[in-house]
Amino acid sequence: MLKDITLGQYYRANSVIHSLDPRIKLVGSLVYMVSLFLFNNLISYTAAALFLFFIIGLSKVPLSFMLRGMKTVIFIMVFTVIYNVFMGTGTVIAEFWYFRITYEGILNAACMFVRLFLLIVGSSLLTLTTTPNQLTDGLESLFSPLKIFRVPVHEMAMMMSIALRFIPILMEETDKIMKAQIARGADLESKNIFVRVKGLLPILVPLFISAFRRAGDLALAMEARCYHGGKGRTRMRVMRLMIRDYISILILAAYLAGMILLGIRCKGFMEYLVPELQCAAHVVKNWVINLF
Amino acid sequence: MELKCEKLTYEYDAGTSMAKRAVDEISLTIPSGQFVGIVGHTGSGKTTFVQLLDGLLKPTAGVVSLDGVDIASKGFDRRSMRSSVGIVFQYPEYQLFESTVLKDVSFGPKNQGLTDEEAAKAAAEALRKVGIEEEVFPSSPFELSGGQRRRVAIAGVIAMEPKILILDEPTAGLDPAGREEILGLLSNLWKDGMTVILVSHSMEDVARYVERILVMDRGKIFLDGAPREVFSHSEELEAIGLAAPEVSYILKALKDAGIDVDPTITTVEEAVKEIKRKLC
Repeated sequence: MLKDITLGQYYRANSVIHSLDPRIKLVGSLVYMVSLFLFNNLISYTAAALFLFFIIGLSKVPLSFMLRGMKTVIFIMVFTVIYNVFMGTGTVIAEFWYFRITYEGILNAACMFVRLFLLIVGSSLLTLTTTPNQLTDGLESLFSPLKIFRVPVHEMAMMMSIALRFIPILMEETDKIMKAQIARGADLESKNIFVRVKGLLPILVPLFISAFRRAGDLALAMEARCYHGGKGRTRMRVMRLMIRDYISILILAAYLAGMILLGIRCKGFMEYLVPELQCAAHVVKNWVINLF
Repeated sequence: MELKCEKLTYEYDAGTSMAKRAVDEISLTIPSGQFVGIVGHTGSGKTTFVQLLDGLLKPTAGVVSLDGVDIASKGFDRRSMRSSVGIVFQYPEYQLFESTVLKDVSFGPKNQGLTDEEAAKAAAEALRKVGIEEEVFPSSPFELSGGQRRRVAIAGVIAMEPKILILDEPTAGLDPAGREEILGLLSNLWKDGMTVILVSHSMEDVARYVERILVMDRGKIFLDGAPREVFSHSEELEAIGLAAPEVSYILKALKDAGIDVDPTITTVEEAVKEIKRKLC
């Protein structure tokens, strides 16, 4: 039931992407996400998608595995599309009540869809190829300059790694509790929304109790091993940049520069497609009129 | 009710590179009123197998049928099936959620469509069976001791009056007294006509109570038979990381030393009797 969520999961494989320094991957994902907002034209989208698929190819994570995780975010994507289709401004195609469908709206919606898709796939690639531990080590190292301002960077990183570590455990626990309550006749598949919401109670209560119990146990175990925060702590794995990391920095810089150039040179999405769509709509309209 | 499975197979992450076969083409029949023990080391597929029997997992291939009806078939009422096949998971005390013991045990019967009074009656009856005193009924399940909570959780399933009761490691983490209580309870339920399927890795527990033992190894049924018969294969059992009950080793050693005792004995009580007989 809950196993289909691949978002935030690690996929074990032996690839270049997996062995990159987590800091490079973090900055890289950030750069990629920002790059998606630099432009608004077809060619740039194609280039960004190609770049992403190139990285996915390198990472050896099966595409089907990644896409399975998308099921959970499809709701947000559909919502964005619907919102953009009905709430756009510009050349009106149809209008009723509050809603207005415009060419710009449709294009915007398509554009947002692609952008969100690339955004989510891009960020899930980070977690798929980086273990939570590496991820927090990377974050801690990237944010460590903030320690000058007395920001508890280490503690925050520790909290994050604990939270990430517990996601699969709690998911497994949820699955178990759900099965147990289903076995006791709980109705979790009812069409009636109220019955379903009420059916969540027998799952949430035990889940919260076990989460608190685990948190207490963990705190005790950490204290028993004399954990007292980040001061004077050394690490087992010291992060050091390798040649492959420098090469990826170069590739990333080239990508960013290319995207900026494309963004400036290429005509915007809107000017480019709206007249053509309008023309097509006109043709269809005439054809329908001729038909009758 | 007769539980039957044919070429039952289950794979985790089926269809991906990480596919792992947990249950591998198991075919067997559990007739009504049998006390069956399923043993096997960790990861042998016991838990997955019993979840398939209750329809909580959908088999990758193969069929589970209850009185001849495929439980995965369309139109089969799985919710009503849950009334006749009850399953108690590992550490069931972590599923308690209600504010009082009585209410928690009533959860199952209420889901079966009983009224509040009927459900409370069924719950009280089940709690009495597992040996929970009436004073405890109105207290919160979280105030009880571990052993009591375990029994309350088991009562939650018994209250639904299943014909077949499956228990996954019901004695894990309990002290010897608590274990005896639970196993004695199961034995009583079985004597009242219930089919009981007990998953365990304790050979001693299984040897004392069950009529039939299924030994699982890597998703397959490795041995299937009466305790004495199964435990006579002690070398094969050791090869898959299990062992026969300790007493059977003692008797075997005695036999090898030339003392004429029955080496197929599997429980401590019988062994004591046998050795006494020899001494007198």
